[in-house]
Amino acid sequence: MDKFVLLQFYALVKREVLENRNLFVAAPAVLALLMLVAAIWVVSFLPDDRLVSFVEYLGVLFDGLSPTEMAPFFMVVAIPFLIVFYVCCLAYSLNALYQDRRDMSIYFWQSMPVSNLKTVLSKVFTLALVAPLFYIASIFVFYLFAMIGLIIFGVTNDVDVAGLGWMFLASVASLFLVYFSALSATLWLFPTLGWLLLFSAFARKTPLLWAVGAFILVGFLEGFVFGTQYLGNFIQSRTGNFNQYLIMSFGDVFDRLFNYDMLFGVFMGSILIAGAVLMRRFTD
Amino acid sequence: MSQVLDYVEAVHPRFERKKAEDFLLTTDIPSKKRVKELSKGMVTQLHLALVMAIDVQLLVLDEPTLGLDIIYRKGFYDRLLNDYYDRLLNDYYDGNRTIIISTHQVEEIEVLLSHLIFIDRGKIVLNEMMSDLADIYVEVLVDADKIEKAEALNPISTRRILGKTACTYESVPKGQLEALGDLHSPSVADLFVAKMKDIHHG
Repeated sequence: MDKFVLLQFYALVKREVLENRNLFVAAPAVLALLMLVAAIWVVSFLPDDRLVSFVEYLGVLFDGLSPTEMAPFFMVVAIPFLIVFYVCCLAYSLNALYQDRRDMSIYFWQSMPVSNLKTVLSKVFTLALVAPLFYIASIFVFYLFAMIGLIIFGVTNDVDVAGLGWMFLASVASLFLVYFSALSATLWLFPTLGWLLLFSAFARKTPLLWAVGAFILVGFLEGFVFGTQYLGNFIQSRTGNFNQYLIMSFGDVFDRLFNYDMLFGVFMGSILIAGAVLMRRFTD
Repeated sequence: MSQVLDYVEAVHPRFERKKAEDFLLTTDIPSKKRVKELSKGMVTQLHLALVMAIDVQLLVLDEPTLGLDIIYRKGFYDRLLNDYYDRLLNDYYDGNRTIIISTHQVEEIEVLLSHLIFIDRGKIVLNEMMSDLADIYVEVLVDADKIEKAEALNPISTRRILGKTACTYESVPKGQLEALGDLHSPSVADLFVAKMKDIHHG
């Protein structure tokens, strides 16, 4: 591929990250900080002997397991991050093609030789593949501090901390599961994200109201005309079930990312995203 | 601010960063401020600085100085003109550079123009080279006793100025008009008003 095209796409992605650093960088960083503070707060109430036995217990809990086998246990810590990521995905999609129209900066962005297709693709790419990196970076920092704290505590209390190193490797391995879970969440939500992007490109005001209102209207018409609820059930299945995109084992990664339901959703979402590209071309 | 320059540098192959930085130095935009913190006028200045640093064959500026104070507006058009002639004198200029400026503030750009187009509700109502305007359109400050004769020549517009009557004519030989009073070329603003009156009121 042309080097200029790659550099241009890199600049578009960088712009997305910089303009949405609150969602992509600050949100997971603040969550990691809150969880760290909460962990310290809880630990401060525990008597030293309970804490010593807890650290010793951690050392033997995973005895005989490889880091990749231990990794799923660490997904428990990642769940709050994935929930925040999920909310950020929705908030981002709702604003992605609306914000620059609201503050009129769209005239500047569109005066650059960047097509609407490239702009929208850079947004979807950032959301699906780049944003999760900041989330796993925050989780990594959380693990790092937690591990340092445990090691300092273990060393000062004469506890064998050799097992903690192995555990740290497992926590790092779990970051790959987190990344694939975030990617899976984005792909699973693709129809919803496409719908939000469509109304983000369409609405002159309150895109949330338009997106929800149009969904209710279409659902009502479907029920009224055909007596069915396929749309409602489809969207519910895409948003309600967290287990659909939480990947707990490395062996599940391929099957979870490449199955019929997932690819059908990606196809439907892609149609809606193509609609958003056209909408951006013809609105304003 | 540097992030915007980085962005434009990356996405536009004909952007000259040094030039944009030089333009920005002539504005009152604080270099450390974030774009979101800038006033509307400053954002427009920033946009213009970026656009002026792009070497393109066709540059379309839609109301480029809207919301800016007169000092900056004058400075902007001076720089636009100088930049155009700088490129004209350079070897790499290929003779095909065009700048289209769409504006209601016609007085400010009159001296820059080589062509003039008036558009009324999507229809072109005037399309002339500036050098031909003086030959086609003439304004006459008609002496009081010659008003009837002046009106007989079908001016496209008539207006009162300081007790005299100014009539604007289109394609009427100057020889016929000289006897009516002082002749001069109408300003672009006067011509615009005259053409619009002619169209809307016959």
